Amino acid sequence: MLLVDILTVWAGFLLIWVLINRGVPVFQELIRDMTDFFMEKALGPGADLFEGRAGSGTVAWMMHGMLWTCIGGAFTFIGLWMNHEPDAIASLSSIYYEPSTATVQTAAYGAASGGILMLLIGAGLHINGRLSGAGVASETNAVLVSYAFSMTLLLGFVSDHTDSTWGSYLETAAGIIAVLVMIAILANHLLTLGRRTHDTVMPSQWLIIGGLGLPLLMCAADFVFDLHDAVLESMAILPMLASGLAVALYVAPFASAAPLWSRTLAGTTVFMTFVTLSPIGIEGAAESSMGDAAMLTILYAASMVPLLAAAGNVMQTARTNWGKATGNPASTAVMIGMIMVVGSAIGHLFVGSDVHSMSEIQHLSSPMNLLFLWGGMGMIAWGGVIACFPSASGRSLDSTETSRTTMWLVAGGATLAFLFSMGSSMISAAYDAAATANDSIDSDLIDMSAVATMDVLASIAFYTVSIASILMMINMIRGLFSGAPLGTDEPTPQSANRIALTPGSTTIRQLIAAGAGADTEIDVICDDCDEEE
Amino acid sequence: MTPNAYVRSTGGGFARRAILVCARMFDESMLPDVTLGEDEPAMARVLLVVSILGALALLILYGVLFPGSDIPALGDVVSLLGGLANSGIWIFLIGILVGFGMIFANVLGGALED
Repeated sequence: MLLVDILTVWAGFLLIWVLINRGVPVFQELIRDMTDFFMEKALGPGADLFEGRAGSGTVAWMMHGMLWTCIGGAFTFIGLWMNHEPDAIASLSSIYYEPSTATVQTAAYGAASGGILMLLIGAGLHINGRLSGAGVASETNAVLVSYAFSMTLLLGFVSDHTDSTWGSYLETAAGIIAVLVMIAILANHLLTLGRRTHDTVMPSQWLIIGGLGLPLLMCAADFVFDLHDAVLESMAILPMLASGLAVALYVAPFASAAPLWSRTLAGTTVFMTFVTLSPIGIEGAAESSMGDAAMLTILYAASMVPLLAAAGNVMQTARTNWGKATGNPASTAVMIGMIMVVGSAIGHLFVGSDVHSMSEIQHLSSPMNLLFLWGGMGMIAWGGVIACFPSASGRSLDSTETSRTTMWLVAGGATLAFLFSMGSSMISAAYDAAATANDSIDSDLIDMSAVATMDVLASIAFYTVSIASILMMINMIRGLFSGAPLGTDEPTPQSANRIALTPGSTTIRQLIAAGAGADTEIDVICDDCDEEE
Repeated sequence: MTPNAYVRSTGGGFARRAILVCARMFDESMLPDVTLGEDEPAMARVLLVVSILGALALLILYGVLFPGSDIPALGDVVSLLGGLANSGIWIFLIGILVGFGMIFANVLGGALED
């Protein structure tokens, strides 16, 4: 019964709230010490593989996340292209790679959503550590489980391409490892929170803990209560949605150098995110009665409240110091992301309500997912990377301009791809409806070139997102290896140790262009000089 | 040269240098040594990318206006890839593959340099 399932969700959130505020009365120290032990020492040699430097967990999650975002972006582009040309990569059958369009799109969604979730979790680790004032409890564990989660994405990617039972086995293995990773990350967050230096738990911390904890609790509750599929589908998107809101509510004040505009709106965002059901990503697996559909629609509509509250709070926070906020690409990315999230959520509200009733506008589901994943969560994750990665790694990103450029590329590419793919699906649905309504129309004779053109435009628009992901990945790698150490505000260009010159005149500019630095040793090589002397 | 109000207000060497160059141009009727400045405005790269995207959009427009004659695929241009790259997607995939190559090269370069 849906009402009981909703009450279970609320009870789960209440449990999290009580545990964070009160702790476990008698066993608090025991649980803390045991968790601490399992996080590092119990892992044995596994934990010794990594140093566990401050910020290394965030860096590992973000590097893995951006790599998977690149892979997801590339395959999303291919999937969009195959909408109008299913045989586009048929020539790869010579190396036994001949996936269908649906396979490529499924694999792309898995890789992209996993990658963006990793970026958000990486930012969440940094945010919780920073707001707690004590740093992440176990950086070693965070680094270790980032590799495990990356492996689950790889297993999921392979299983999406595998039709046999081995695909199911791989998918099951990926799911189990992913749950274990989430438990480890949640334990790390809770330990971090337990070591906080002040009493107040910030909204971002609530969202991080609840976003990871509530789906795990509902996963366990499902074994007992057999929860409604609509509840489980909403829980599947909650880690990403709540983490995204957490990052947005951190980056906006961070970039604006001003506290959040409204305490009430922040509280509303936290509370309503966990007591409502989001329609985002709903695929209609549930068989619902009319009463259930009405209740779900109310809960879906109520889920707009936290998103609108968070968007308003972020915008107004940026407005208090607009010049500083808009000068920072992280803040700009988050603001654009929040607008996109609200837009996609409103679209999902109709699509999600429709899936449990008439199923008339389900052709809009795929474009809406694209807007939410790349335009909304992708942009917020970009803001998280730009704001948190330098602080975590201790070095600035290689180029602020690249960060800004890639941000606009993702924003523009995702928006245009959404508009074109939505146009394509609407035209296609209209043709189908006309053909169904009029028996005299032969559906094979309808000119679908307009749909194909829209699909081409959508895929090319999305190509910019793929390229932007790759450029941002390179920006992060270069920043990690040779970015300016934070605090110095001075670039650390690579310079040659020694340069050989032939006699003659030159300029400092030419020497610098050749790779000379302040410490470069210059040798003037002159074969004839001795003879002339 | 006596600094004028503009030089004082900006206080920078750029204005002084510009006045010097302009003075030389008028006095000696000669062009400046360099026309390329040091500045790289933030929007310059964005403009470059938008230009490239505009060019791609025009390519698509070509396909719309002349539906009978498609844009040549990579395999049509490079005969070596005739059997492999027989779709327009490969023009774009080359860019993605080069991008992944750059990622690998950067990781390798950074690791070896350390």
